[in-house]
Amino acid sequence: MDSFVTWLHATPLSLLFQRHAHWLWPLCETLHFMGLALIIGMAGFFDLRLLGVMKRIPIRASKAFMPWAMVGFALNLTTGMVFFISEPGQYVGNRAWWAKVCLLLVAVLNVIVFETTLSPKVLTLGPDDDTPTSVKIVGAVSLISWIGVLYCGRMLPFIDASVEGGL
Amino acid sequence: MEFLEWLQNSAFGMWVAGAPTIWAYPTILVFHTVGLAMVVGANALLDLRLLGVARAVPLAELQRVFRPMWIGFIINAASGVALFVAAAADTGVKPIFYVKLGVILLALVTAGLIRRVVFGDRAALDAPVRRQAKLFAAISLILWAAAITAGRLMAYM
Repeated sequence: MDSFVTWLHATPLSLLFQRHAHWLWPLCETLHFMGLALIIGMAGFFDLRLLGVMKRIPIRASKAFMPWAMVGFALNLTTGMVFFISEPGQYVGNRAWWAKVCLLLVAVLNVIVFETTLSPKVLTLGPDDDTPTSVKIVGAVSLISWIGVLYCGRMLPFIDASVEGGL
Repeated sequence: MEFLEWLQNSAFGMWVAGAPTIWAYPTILVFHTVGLAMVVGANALLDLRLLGVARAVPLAELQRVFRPMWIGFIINAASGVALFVAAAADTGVKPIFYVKLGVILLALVTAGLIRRVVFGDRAALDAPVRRQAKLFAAISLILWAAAITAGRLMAYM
């Protein structure tokens, strides 16, 4: 791992990011918070519907906000990569970061499971239809894993802190 | 300034800032982020709908967004007070902090205006969204983006 960190930190891209860190990090951090608001807001809305809240809204309609959750996810994946490429050592040795990555994988796998197995049936459900238990579980896993990602992310400077980074 | 220092040195301020437990400052920060996600996420949902996203979602159903917004606001007001007290002498003299509060106030006023204009009249809910409501929705998104930016810049200014 150490040699990977050293190698990455010395690449031209990483050096470029490091050189501009004084404005790049505040910009990317700001975008990262906007992205998380989008993810939690849009995906949270869909997850709540999967859990059976707001039954009057057809599930297909509630899913229509998801492209904006994807915008949030794309923002955060991109800015996250800027952070990682800039200072890989800050993350690789941090337990909170690994926990965040694991929860991210859970969230993504959960989406894949939903899209490939449950989605076609669920999208035909109309207003006032309750959702099957399997679908409720998907919704719950999604909500819990995204809040977990938020928690681990916020804890990064405090757990295994090896760096002065902005709070 | 003396008052700010008194706040920061109070038992509560010292505990939030310095307690050797992640249940103090870090946890209060987590709550502040969760509250942000609730307020901005819920408001953005309504704003996007007003701007034409997910038109199949009945607008009347989205009147519910004001509850998570309100809960998120209370969480952030409470956690915000704790965070302020812990660093009052530093935060209290930063212009960017007051910019943040001002922008948040404007964003909340805009949300109130949207509530009145969009949900005040039952008949209007089924009609196409008025241009005034769309304008407020766009302003709302911009203001929340500005609030998040100001909040982040507090760590650097």
